[in-house]
Amino acid sequence: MKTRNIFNISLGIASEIFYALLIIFTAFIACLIFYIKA
Amino acid sequence: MILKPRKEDIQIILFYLGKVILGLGFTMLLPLTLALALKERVPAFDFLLSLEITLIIGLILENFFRTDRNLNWMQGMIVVSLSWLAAMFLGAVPLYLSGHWLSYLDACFEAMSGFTTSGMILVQDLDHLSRSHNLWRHLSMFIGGQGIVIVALSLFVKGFTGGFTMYVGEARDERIMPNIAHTSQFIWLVSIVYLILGTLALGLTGLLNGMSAFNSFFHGACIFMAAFDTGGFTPQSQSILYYHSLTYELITVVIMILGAMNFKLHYILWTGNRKEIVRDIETRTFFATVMLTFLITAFGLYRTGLYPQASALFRKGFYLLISSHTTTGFQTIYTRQFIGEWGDLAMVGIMCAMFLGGAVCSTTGGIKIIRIGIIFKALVQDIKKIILPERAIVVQKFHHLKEMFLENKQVRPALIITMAYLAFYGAGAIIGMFCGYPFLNSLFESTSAAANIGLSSGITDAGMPSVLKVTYIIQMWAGRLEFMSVLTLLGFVYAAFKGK
Repeated sequence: MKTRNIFNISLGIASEIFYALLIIFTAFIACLIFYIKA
Repeated sequence: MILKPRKEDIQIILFYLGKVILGLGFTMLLPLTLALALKERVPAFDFLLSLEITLIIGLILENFFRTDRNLNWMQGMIVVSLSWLAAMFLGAVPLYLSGHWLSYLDACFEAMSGFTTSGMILVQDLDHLSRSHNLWRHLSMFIGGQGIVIVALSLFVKGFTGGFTMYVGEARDERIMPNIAHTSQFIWLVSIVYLILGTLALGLTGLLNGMSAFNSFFHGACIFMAAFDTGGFTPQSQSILYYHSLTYELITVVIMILGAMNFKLHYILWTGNRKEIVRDIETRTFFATVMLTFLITAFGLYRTGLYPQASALFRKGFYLLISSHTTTGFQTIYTRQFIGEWGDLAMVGIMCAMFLGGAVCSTTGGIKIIRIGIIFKALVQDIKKIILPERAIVVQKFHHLKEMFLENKQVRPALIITMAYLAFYGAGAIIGMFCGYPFLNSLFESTSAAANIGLSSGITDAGMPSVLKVTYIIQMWAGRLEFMSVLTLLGFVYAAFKGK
């Protein structure tokens, strides 16, 4: 049970970090596109 | 007819206030221990004295007003609002004793800024402040981020009852688990797990950048507490610019975003339902508003020609944007550059992000993105009603932890609180203008205080008028508690004088 909890928590943390990185990456791409267009 | 408060009301309120003050006192043991360990003798005496004062006041209240009754809604709300004021007055004592604040009012300002996770500072010569005082500043953010009353009552004091009223009073209206003590423990679990991970990541980055081992991890822990609790204090006066590290900036951006997320969403993700992160209205709205406000800021910066390369524009612009949107207040540019060189459009982009804030039931301030999402959905629903035939039934759904139908009972409070925040931002701006500051700067500073952000347009300074310091203290306090507890306290005081 404990191993499963730790596994779930790790995947939960990974998904949260992925969300944060997705925001950063999308903003960076948007910035690049904006610069190239301008 | 307004009823005068009963003696029992006052007894119960003061008894629980005493318990909270006792809990707060115990948290001072941490900086005291650090001061003793590092042989910081004078700061150790500051904390010893503050600890004694806090414990004496707490014990007097607890013993003089002892009762076994539970709190009702009104009493719970008043305990919350008074507890945050008590935390400010008592938390300011060690700061004032350090001699780094010019007056007790300045120390109170800094303490309220810490507990409300705002990050506005009036400290003098921060770079030479003792480590224990620095720990106390950052710890105040960590305690404030979790909720002072809940922390004090659920973890430090036995016999914790009537918790839900105070949980709501501290602007947390979503119960994670049926029991408030368990809810509080889960909030602590999330914070402690991330504290370990974040401190390790920042500490190792510091080590690789050439900082000493102790400094790397001490700074790492302090910066983590300020980032995750979206506070914005830093151990050095140059904020995050001090570290000159892209990795440090990247890690703090991630931590700030994690801190802006709903604790209930953390719970759902940590218990296996990971799809929620892309379905929830809060994460979707946050994503959209970050992109929108960043594009405004980026366009503003592009027009000024300040950053000729896209990477430089992104690094500076996006960092400040996320720092504002999550209501943290970290900076990687100097305030003078922000005011003088960024231009009005970029400043407006940052201000729009400041208005919005993060998720409810998180450590952020501001209007909160779920309210923006709900208002947007309501707007879409109304437009559909106009466009579609009269007989058509328009149903608007949204997903917040579960599938929900949009109803007036959700839209009305969202609109009321949004309007209250906007009025509060405006009121502070008017007082700023009365003190002789320009409109945009006054509005920026007022928003920064009321939304608990901490960025400054240059007004916040030890030399600013006392009336403005008190205004910002009230804004930080009421903004953090989302008005209801403070309004209940005002109603209680009014009833005490005018009631029958």
